Amino acid sequence: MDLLANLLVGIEAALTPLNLFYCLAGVFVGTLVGVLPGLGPVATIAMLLPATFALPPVSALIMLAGIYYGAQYGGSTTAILVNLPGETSSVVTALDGYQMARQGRAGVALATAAIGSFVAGTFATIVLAVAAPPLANIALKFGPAEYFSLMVLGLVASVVLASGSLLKAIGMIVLGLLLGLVGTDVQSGTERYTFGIPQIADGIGFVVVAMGMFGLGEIVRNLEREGGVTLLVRKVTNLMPTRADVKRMVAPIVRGTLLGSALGILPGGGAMLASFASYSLEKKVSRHGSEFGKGAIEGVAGPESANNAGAQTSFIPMLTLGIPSNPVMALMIGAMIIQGIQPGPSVMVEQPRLFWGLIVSMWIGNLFLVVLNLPLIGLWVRLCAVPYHLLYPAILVFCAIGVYSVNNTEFDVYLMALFGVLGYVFAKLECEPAPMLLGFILGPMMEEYLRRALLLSRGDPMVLLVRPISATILVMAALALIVVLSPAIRKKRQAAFAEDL
Amino acid sequence: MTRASRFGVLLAVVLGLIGADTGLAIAQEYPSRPIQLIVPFAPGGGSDIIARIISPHLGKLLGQPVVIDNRPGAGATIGANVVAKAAPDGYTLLYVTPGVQLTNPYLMKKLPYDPVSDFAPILPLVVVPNVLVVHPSVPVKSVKDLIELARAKPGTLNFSSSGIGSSSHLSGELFKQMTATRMTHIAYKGTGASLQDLLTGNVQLAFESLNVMLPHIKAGALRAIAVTTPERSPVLPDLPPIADTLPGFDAAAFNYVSARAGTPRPVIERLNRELNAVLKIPEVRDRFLSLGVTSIGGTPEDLDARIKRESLKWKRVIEVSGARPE
Repeated sequence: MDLLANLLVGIEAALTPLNLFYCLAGVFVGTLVGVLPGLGPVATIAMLLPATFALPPVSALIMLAGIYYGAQYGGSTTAILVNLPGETSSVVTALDGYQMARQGRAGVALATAAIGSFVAGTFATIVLAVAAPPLANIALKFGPAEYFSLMVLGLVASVVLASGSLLKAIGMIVLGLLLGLVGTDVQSGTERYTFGIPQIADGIGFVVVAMGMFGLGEIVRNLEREGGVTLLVRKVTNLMPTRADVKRMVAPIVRGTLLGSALGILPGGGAMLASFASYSLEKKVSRHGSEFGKGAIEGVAGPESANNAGAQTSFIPMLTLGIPSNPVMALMIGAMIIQGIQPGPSVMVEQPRLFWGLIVSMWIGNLFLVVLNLPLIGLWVRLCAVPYHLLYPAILVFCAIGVYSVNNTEFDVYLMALFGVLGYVFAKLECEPAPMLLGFILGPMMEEYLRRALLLSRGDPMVLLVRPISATILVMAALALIVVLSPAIRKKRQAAFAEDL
Repeated sequence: MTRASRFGVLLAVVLGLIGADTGLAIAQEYPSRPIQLIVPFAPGGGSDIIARIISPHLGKLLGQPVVIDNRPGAGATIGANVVAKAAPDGYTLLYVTPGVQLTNPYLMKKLPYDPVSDFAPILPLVVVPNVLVVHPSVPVKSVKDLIELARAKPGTLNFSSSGIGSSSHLSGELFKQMTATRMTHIAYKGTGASLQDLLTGNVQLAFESLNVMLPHIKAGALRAIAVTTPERSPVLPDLPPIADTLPGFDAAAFNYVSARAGTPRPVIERLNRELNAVLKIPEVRDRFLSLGVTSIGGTPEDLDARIKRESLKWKRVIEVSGARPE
């Protein structure tokens, strides 16, 4: 069989002691930078890029890929332990993961993330091996109109992220959209709401907003709540998931894996939607829907699986078409070019050792991650037992370093402080930051795709409905809107009746 | 001459001597500590890769490490501004891309630095050629065919670019102006983002960097028509320059190295000498060849003249295109 022969080539390439070492080094470094808030895989890979010049191409790419998915993995650790999502994908993990940690179930949350990621990684790797070229062709069916519709669907679904008031959630989404407008318009080059400040001419950075709103805001609230001297978590319960926990995580992991694998194929922002979509889905289908936002294990299991599956399948457009899905993939393409490999349709044929070696190494890397991280859970959980007055200055310092490292500018650190204040104010007002963050991420992309679609259709909006994929997604968005709104209307009515009584 | 004025003259002479002496001392000691090379773009991009290829060699020749400092943002103006405000001592250098002096002054309302007087030219480094590619569904095989198609169906063709004011955008605008055709510019956030619509044919053509397009040309996903430089590229020697059909067509990203204005002349000369030597190192030449970039080299005066020439050219192209935002 062809596949077996190819996998054999891959195993041969990936299992050399040298490549095993670089795979391990990659996931280790990745986990490390993922855990350090703000210090993301882009900065790390950029720093290590010159060091890979001297390596053989296969080893270089195996290590860089390891850093990428290792960081995705590590990012969930800080999201769960201290409410610091360093990556777009870990925003939703923070919602329930952090609540679980507060209830003393940090170990369970971390283990759930590890198990979910491993299952998803394994499945997505198989998808990559079996069906990369045909799936890449599906990716090519997506033009600006389709991506716009997808973003609309994502935005509608994001209302579900809030566990409180629907009105406040919509308000926060709109605020996120407005913040997303800041920066230079892609098509005309006009600066919007930049007030002549060059540091925000390219927009406000995601890490700045996320660290400020989630991380700093949470620190202030904790200090206020406990007088700043007690522990974050009063008692740590079981480290590992119980049988009941495992039962509850199976279905979300399966759904998250499938959803993430599918979305990851789309280079125009699919992988980014994966964890959000999975969270929204789980909240709607779960029998424990009311527990979401208060520490539901499904809210960690689903998104973490989706996120890791998406991270793996986003290699499909990069390896088979040469289209980068995100800045990390763009860097990897840069690394390939430096190595004298032309990323594109010919990689599979001309560089079978590289292509299949990379795929096999991804599975090995995922295995390393589980082996590396399960024993670490005990250590992480003990971190929660560090007195908060010692813990929070450290978190602050790491946040500042991380935010600075993205653009090497201190302006971002001040901006993060400002968003910290905002985060605190919104927490007081019981407005949740997650829907705002999603509006902030999706808004600019949605605008960009809509304008591009209309520019290509010479101004005809029907392009969104004439193209079948786009129309289907828009219908799904309309249905989702009805589903989202209906229980809220019911709830509001019930509340109104309750007041009458 | 009064005593006071005689003292003044003496003082001036003494100070002048000290000044000359320190100038000499600077040149002899230079460099005595690591040098920062500011790259005004994110790591891993085209300019960053080129800077990282030359920096270790330059460091070796100067006897001090050359450290790359990425200061991305606002179309290279943030990084440029760091150098414009640095001490004029030759320890903070700028990897200059066309935006800094050649195009942003005409695209942006306000720059935080003076594009003409804030920088001292050191060395013309490389030219990054663009290649004119079309989607295979577009029935053209040459520049002449394309012009005919654009004239026959005015306003139906789209060309993509990696952003407003980028080399790929301005190449297209120059082409439109020289052929008096109408095509719609579709801007993306970087070349990678533009690839998808180009590969599916949503956008019919692009003037994009040669090295990024090469694999897609080889795989037959895109058809290469011509290069934007006046000379053929050694990477795709069969491809004619656009200038063969449109005499005088020359559009490519020009990269060079500058320092803060007022940097002592001996320091500039030293840097120019070592950078010229770096361009001659076989390893550097091989790397550049594989990337499809052409190294230039020359004196600071060559660079100064070229900056003035290119700046004038892009000023005209931008003004005619109406690319300057309101």
